[in-house]
Amino acid sequence: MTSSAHAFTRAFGKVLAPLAVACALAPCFSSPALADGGGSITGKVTAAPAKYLGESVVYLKNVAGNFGGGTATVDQKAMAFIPHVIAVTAGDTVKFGNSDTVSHNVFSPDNEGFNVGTFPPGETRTYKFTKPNVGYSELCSIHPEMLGYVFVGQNPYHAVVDGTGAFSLKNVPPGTYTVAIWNSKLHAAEQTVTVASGAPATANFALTR
Amino acid sequence: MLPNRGVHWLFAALAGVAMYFVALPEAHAVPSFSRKYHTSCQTCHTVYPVLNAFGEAFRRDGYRFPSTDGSVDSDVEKAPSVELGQDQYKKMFPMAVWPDKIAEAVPLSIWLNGGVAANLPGSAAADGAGNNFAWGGIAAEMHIFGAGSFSDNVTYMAQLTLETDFGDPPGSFDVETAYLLWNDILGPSHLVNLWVGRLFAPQLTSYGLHSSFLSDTVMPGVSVGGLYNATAGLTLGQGHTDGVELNGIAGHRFGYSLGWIGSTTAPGLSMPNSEDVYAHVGFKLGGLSLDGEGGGASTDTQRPWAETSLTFDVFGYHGLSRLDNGTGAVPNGTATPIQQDDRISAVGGLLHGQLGSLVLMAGLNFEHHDRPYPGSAATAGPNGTVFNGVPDLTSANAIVQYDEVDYIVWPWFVPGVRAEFTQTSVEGASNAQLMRIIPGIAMLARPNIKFVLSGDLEWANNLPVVGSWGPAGGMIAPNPGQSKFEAEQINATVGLAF
Repeated sequence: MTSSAHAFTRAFGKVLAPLAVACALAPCFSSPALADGGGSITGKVTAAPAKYLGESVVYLKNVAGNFGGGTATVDQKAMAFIPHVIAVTAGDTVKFGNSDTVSHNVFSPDNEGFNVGTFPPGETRTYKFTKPNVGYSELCSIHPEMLGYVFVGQNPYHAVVDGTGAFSLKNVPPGTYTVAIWNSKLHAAEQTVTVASGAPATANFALTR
Repeated sequence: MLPNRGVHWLFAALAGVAMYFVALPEAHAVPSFSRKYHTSCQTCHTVYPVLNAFGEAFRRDGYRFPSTDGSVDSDVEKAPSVELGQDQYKKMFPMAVWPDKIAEAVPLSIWLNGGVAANLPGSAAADGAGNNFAWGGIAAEMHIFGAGSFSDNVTYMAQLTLETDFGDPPGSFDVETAYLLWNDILGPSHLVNLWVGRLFAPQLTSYGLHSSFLSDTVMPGVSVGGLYNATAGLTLGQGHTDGVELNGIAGHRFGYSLGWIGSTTAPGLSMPNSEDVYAHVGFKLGGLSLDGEGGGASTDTQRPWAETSLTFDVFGYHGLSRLDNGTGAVPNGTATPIQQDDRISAVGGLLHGQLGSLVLMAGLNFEHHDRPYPGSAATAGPNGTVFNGVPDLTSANAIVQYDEVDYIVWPWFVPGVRAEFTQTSVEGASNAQLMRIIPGIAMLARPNIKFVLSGDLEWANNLPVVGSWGPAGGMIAPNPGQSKFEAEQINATVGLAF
């Protein structure tokens, strides 16, 4: 890479870094917009041990319709995947960035497995996730301590649980659904929830080994 | 044939002094674990280093928290770790290194310990020390511990001991413990574990080495070989031996160990082939199960240490101790030590019971030595001539019996009394017996600051071959063939762990 390319990369990285932090706090999607006017499902998740609470995604299983086709971004910065956990929809493509000062690699041994190769700072690689309702670990073969997760839902009704255990699935069409939770290490039983238009429904989960 | 006792008085005196310092309490409460789990010493200890039922389970489980509902050790770990590879790399093996982790903060802790003894007037202890009281040894040792886990089934423990005033030579340091505990290597959890390195101690019972409130070790530190030959080094069941141990727990309440460890040798001699092997089985009735996962935890909220239990243990040990037999040739007037291999066979057992806050222990060991005696020494004659010594092939036996009763009045105050009996049986000579009665109180000023006050009452009949009861921890010195009772010492030991 030329020095000017390096300069561009650094500048790009500086721009991308705040974006990456923003992504950690908000969904990094450009998925098709969800229909307004539905109901919502909110709730609280507890985990034992609590330290794995943040590695949880609440999602609806098998909602009728065609979804996916959007894009999402996962960055690598300070030797970490940002955000640590991201939820996408089957058919979405995830763009893996590198805002670090060293080369990174992204691969996963889970499910069908994937490896987008090793790439230098400033470059990106993409992978299209098609298998629904599963989680993938993200690893970097150059830095074995790095770990992130991509959860792939069948539909866009999914939410990463926040640090307090709260989640909210918005704009859910009225109907009866199976609500499930994915966690990197823990498990909780699925629930059946009925959503009425404009009315909030509740689902709480207690994750354990 | 017995050697001339007079020849060995010097060795006996040295052995006695050495045993006094060997008997100093060592460090075995490990604040590294407090830091790892963010928990108090009292989660695992009563008056440390004595472990409560949960602490014993933690130790037997390979320094891991007993699992509940399928949990793993890292579930309860609170101190941050640095991942040297995420768990998912296990799926990549052998294309990737099997992952593990290290503690983010260096997992070290420090233990200071020592003690002072008031030698009672007119006692052999006072005669030997030349005083009734001296401020010496109150900070005799500093131990630096490193302990933690590399993964949910691989843990480690290391202990470096720095000795201030004592040791051999004074000011020495020693890697007393440094071993890797590879747990759950086959079958169900806890069934097969492999511990390799400088082991904390050969596990001859189901209880930790330091399960006595009043003595350094639950099994008395009696060097039976030392009662016959001052150069003998083996002390059954004591710690810090290189080797490998396979151990495990089946059905929550049946425990076993199989070990192969280094043999001992007298200073200046070559190290023999490692020939020491041992096996132990134990079974616990009632109380918290051996692995802490089979139920039985105390429901007494005021006395969480209390339980009703009885544990049976038996063991067998075969080993070798290489002695200096004193029969070396004397080239140019300089004696060359000649080795003599004393093979040891021992069997023993321990009954450990608890009735609420009352703790009872009773143990018995039999030890046989096939040729522990030094022969007559070689001597140099005139004009460079040498008269070789004569080896002594006499065998010897010993019985060691010990009991302890303690009552945990409060979690910081435990009075008790301990008895240790040693008998040496010598072919062609009268038996010799030593009884030590040790009343005392173990106290915690804080969870990590302890004091033990104890007395030492001794009765002996006759003297062992080396002419001193030092290798059995005794100081009393009756005339050969006679009995004597004496109050020897009041001991105060202190410990500080952080």
